Amino acid sequence: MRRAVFLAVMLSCCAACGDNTPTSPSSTSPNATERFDDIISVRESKFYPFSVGSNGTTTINLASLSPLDRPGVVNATMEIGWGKAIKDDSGTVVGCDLAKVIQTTPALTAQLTDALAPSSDYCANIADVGGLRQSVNFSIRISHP
Amino acid sequence: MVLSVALMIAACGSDNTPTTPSNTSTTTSENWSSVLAPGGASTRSFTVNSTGTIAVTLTVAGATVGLGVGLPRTSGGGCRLGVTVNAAPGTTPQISTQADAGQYCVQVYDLGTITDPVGFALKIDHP
Repeated sequence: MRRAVFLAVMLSCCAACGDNTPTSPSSTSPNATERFDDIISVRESKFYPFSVGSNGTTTINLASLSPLDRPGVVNATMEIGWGKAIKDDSGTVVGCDLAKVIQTTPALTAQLTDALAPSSDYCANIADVGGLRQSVNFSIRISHP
Repeated sequence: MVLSVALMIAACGSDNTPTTPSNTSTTTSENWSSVLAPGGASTRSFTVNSTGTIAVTLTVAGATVGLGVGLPRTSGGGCRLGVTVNAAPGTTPQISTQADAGQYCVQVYDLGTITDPVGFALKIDHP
């Protein structure tokens, strides 16, 4: 009898021990990266519309600012930002209502990081705030869900 | 019997200390050698798999040249540079910069000083 009780207790302990059922990873969709490459002139601003597919982190990176006529980097301070796209009656994006801007120089890591919801259409914006002496190429990376 | 049960309970999953995730990012080294023409630029692309440091070491060059890292152009060849230096060959990285995951390029370009093609070699270390 004592042996049976002992075995029952041991079995119940073993059964209670260590739930090794693997946890399913939460669903996280990989971010897509869009490129906004163009030329910007002195005192000019340009925007690029984009949309996000789900809630998550969107990053914007001014990665390159380079001369038009030779290899190299222009280390000018630029203003970059994001906002909500302004559309006309036909749905064409005609402007960018800026929500956040920063001044920065080119780097290979994101300068702007924000949580954007998929309920709106967005835009990335770049503007010369006095740092440019001539037109330059620029490259912006937008990474979003 | 009491002792046996006590030992089993003690052994039973009470260590809830979270395990520190191991650092799974590894550094990849790529070697590249080519020839730079007068007035020209040579570009090679590479992929960074996670945020980390890109280090570029120009190990061989027949002259001081421009050395840069940037994003590959979306159309055509070439490189939209984000970081540049004027580099002479050496054993330590002339460029060491933080970068997010993504596609990148390294470019070697003439600073306007070479009159004949020069060979060069470099090493790219990246996550």
